[in-house]
Amino acid sequence: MRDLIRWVVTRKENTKNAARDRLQMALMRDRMDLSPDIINALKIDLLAVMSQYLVVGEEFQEFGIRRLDESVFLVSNIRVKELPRATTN
Amino acid sequence: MTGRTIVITSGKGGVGKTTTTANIGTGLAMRGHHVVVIDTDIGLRNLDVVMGLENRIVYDLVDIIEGKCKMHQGMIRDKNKLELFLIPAAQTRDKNCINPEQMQEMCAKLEREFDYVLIDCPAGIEQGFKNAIAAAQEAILVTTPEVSAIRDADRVIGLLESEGVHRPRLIINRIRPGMVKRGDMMDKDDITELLAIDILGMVPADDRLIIATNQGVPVIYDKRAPSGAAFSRIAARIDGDDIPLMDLEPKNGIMDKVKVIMGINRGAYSHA
Repeated sequence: MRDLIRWVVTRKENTKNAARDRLQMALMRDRMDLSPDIINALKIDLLAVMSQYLVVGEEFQEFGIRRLDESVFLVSNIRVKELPRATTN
Repeated sequence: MTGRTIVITSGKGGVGKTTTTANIGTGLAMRGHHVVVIDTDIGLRNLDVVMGLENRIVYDLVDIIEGKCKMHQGMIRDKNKLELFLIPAAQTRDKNCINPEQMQEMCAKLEREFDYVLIDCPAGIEQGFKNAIAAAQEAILVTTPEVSAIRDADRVIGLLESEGVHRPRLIINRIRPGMVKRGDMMDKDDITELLAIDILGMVPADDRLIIATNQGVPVIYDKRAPSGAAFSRIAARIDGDDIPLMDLEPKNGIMDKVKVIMGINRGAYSHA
């Protein structure tokens, strides 16, 4: 009887939204697995850009794509060895 | 003459790549173009039966590539369209017996003779996929409105991109407009948004396609088949015609309405 009631209630719901939302999460997770080549290229480029402004370590302490709730973040940590003097006041 | 080499791919199997290849090839030939369709699913060939040419095979793709026959000996002329040719896959070999460079070499030769070189890609993303996409300048991605097929399509878009085949266009196959209308099937906006890709066409689920395939005749010849009309429009769009996408509408005959009222119209098939 309970199954019957549930069937009557849930039957009306649109299942395409469930499909779309589940896919969205699955695709996000799939795409987070960047290839090692891309990760390396990104690291090299980021180091080069940062070196224009700061003296940084040669390696990232942490580097990865992470998910928090429904958003994706690039999380990285790098040691700053030397900061430039302030040039403006 | 420099033809266009287009790969028809999907990732997931069973979504209608081969049927799509046969119909687009026929559609382009009906528009007067010289077309060759190539089955690259070595070991699991099917394009020949879908086109009704299975009894005419003498040589195959591997024979051409290995030089066991001349190119024109390995091409089978279509039953109806003189401008359409098939290069069938080998059945008793495997995907590793050819490589991407050989495909590029062969397609470069074909492009000099044909307006369109269409490559039917095997399912999966292994060697057969790499062979199939190696020579292509363009890609058509086939999916059905299901989570599994769409997820695999997303993977394939990434792989195509990394192989230098940019901006593939999407065909959504086996759409059931009745289910879309009820909100039980993803529509073209849902799917193109998820995949971030341009759409080339939509093909409704259609009993007449199955009947045509049973007979080895591309459904595009069936004037009353909604799927055939959809394939005609897709062929025209590939050929550069600017035809707007048609909204697929559920069937609305009196009996269908009666069935809706009675609540038994679960699987309403469709008009294009």
